[in-house]
Amino acid sequence: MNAWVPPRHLVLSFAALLLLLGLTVTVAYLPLGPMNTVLALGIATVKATIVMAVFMELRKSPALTIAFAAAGFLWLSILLWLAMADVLTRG
Amino acid sequence: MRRTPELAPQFVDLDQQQDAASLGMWTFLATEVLFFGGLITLYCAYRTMHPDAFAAAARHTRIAIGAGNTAIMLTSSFLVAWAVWCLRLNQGRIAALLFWCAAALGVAFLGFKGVEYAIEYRERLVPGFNFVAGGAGAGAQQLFFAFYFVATGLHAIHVAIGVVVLIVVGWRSRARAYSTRYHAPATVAGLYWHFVDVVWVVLFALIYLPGRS
Repeated sequence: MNAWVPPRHLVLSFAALLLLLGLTVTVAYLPLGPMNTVLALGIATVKATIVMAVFMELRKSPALTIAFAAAGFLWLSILLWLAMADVLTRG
Repeated sequence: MRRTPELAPQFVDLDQQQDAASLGMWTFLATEVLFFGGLITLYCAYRTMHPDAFAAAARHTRIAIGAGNTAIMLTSSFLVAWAVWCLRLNQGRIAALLFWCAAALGVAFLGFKGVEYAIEYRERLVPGFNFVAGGAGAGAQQLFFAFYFVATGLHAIHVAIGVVVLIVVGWRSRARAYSTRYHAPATVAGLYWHFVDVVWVVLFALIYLPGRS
């Protein structure tokens, strides 16, 4: 196998990441109201997921490794949930 | 199983050693998620309280530099993933070159970040130092830029550490320290670098994109 030719799954992921970067910058300039924030964060999540699943090889990792990777995000979601439950419900 | 110098005595084989190394790195990265997560939680709370000021402040950031740096980080991350793939094919010399290119991109990222900081200093956007805000919600705009400098500063420290790690791993690859069977240090270094990339992808969305429409 020629190591100078990068494997297909890496090239496709890289191309998708650059396309998503172009997309997120483009939609940031469209007047979509609250959807701007939703799209910005949604596309960022997709990009982060591609990097973690393909580049960081979580998709081929043992379940235990995936559980460890998810643990940080689980606790972060609890932090965000409880913090925002306060901020969003202030009168 | 034949014992090799690379195999630490507590492991049955190199596969188990590799899994343990990845697990350890992910444990560290989980603490990093919460480290940056605390900052991001603050950002979400302040942005909810001051949406207009945050949009106005975000418009002061240089989206061309931000987007360019995102492309640099993504490319660098791709090169590191490719380098690890080369190590599995026993192509240490190619892997070394790829690791060093990725490190060079990391240096370029820091260079652009420096240019950006210089612009922001000249535009008087540094809170507690020379901040002069125009428009409504000047206090809340300072909160945005306080987050901006702390978050991107901490991220830049991570990039700087990553550059050194990538140079060392490239050098070890070139010296044929890794093989098809044994390359755990390189994969773990790669995990760290990809994570720095993930953090930047999130920071980019929070810092550069609001208030553009």
